[in-house]
Amino acid sequence: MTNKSESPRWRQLQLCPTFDRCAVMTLLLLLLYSSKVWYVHIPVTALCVSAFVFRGPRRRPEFWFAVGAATLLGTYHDRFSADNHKYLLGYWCLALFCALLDGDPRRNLARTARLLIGLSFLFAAGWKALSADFLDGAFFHHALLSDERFAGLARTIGGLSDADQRFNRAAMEALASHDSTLEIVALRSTPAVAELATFLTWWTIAIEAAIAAAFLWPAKNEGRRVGDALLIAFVLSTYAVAPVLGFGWLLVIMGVAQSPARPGFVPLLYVLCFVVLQLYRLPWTAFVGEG
Amino acid sequence: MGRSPLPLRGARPSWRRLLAVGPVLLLCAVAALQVSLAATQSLSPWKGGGFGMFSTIDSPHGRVLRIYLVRGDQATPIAAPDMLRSLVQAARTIPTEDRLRALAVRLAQGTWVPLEVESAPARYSSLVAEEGADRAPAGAGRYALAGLLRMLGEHESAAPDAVAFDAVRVELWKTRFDADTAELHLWKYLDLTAMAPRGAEEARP
Repeated sequence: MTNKSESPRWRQLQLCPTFDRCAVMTLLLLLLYSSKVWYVHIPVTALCVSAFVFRGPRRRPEFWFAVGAATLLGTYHDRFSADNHKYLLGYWCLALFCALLDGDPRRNLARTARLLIGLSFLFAAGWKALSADFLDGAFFHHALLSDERFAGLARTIGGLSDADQRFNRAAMEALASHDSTLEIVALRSTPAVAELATFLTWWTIAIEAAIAAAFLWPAKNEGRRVGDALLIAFVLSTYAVAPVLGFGWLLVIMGVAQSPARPGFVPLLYVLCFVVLQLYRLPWTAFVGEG
Repeated sequence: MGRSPLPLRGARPSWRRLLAVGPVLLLCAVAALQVSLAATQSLSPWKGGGFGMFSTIDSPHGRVLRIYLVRGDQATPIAAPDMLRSLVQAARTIPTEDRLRALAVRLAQGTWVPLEVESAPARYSSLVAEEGADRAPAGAGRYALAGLLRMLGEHESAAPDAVAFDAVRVELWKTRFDADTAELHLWKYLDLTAMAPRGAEEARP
């Protein structure tokens, strides 16, 4: 007689819906945001499409090992330019592989997801705490004046005018131009930009440290819900400003993986975040400008 | 009998435990290596898998490469060609002497000519003329950009107007932002010179 805990039916129940949901979301992430190196992009896309259409491949550990190894290979190829979430995506695919080798895939995946989230934020907060030009507000002040991703925020809250932003772009280009002999340029700023930079500095380090603590501390139900609330707040606030949507999606997927197995508010919120992040790509600043 | 749904069932618990934390250990190992490389080889905290993005101005994008063709006491600024972007990216991300030297040597091995732009009709006419007996009038539709140079691609034939030079100097500058004055300062972190191979020095007497 087949032991109930070893039957395919049991396994299916164990995997569904959390594992399957995470697997499908990861496939979407890989299809849209994986490495563009051809010898990684083409095989990974082919594998992901097949696993998207058929349930079988995405429940096989070999599939996730192949995808994880290919993703990490692509990251190694682009190691001088790859963003940190490309590394994390590789680890996550290997986490899906490891979970499928375990007797309790959902529990294994939840534990790994919590650790990956907690450690990512721990390192992120650690770098910021040790960086002198982050703690004194210089990083965000500079970003608000010169980084296109922060231009909308600098205009709407910081009070920087279009002329100021054009001036700052020209100054940055002059400094970076190959034939430049300049060693210093003055950027145009406002007191509100400096205040906003101070707020962003402390908000960022506080929420990242709090998320690291919430996910690494061995808390029970209520403690974990605090972590969920912080992670969702981070994703919705951070990626509205700096739309690194691949990173946002990956955090949401890991959030789903570690949320309670039973249907409820928390997993639903994460899935809503997954959808909402794509809406951040709409040209909101153009709409505001036209209005 | 179907495939076992749990391939590790029966494996030793220590192996299972190790495998279960494999991705976590990998994250920690890569992040520790990144911290080490940032401390010893000036790897930008933004890169390398250590999660230091948005923690400092010192991103690869914020590091400036200034490159010069040197002839006697004259130094002509040049832009690295797109075909060397991986070397440029490496030099900006983790600017060791070896990486700057690799870029400088590759640039010194190149043939540098005045940069010209060609209008699309002129380009088409010259291609048509190459196929037939007619030759397009030399220089028609081509405009030289004063003072700007470009490196010939691997499949381009040697040009008579190649610029002579003795060496290539590569400088890596880092940025510092003064929040009180909103001034952005560059400071030279490293520079390196590679001598030109014989021939480049004599391209033009």
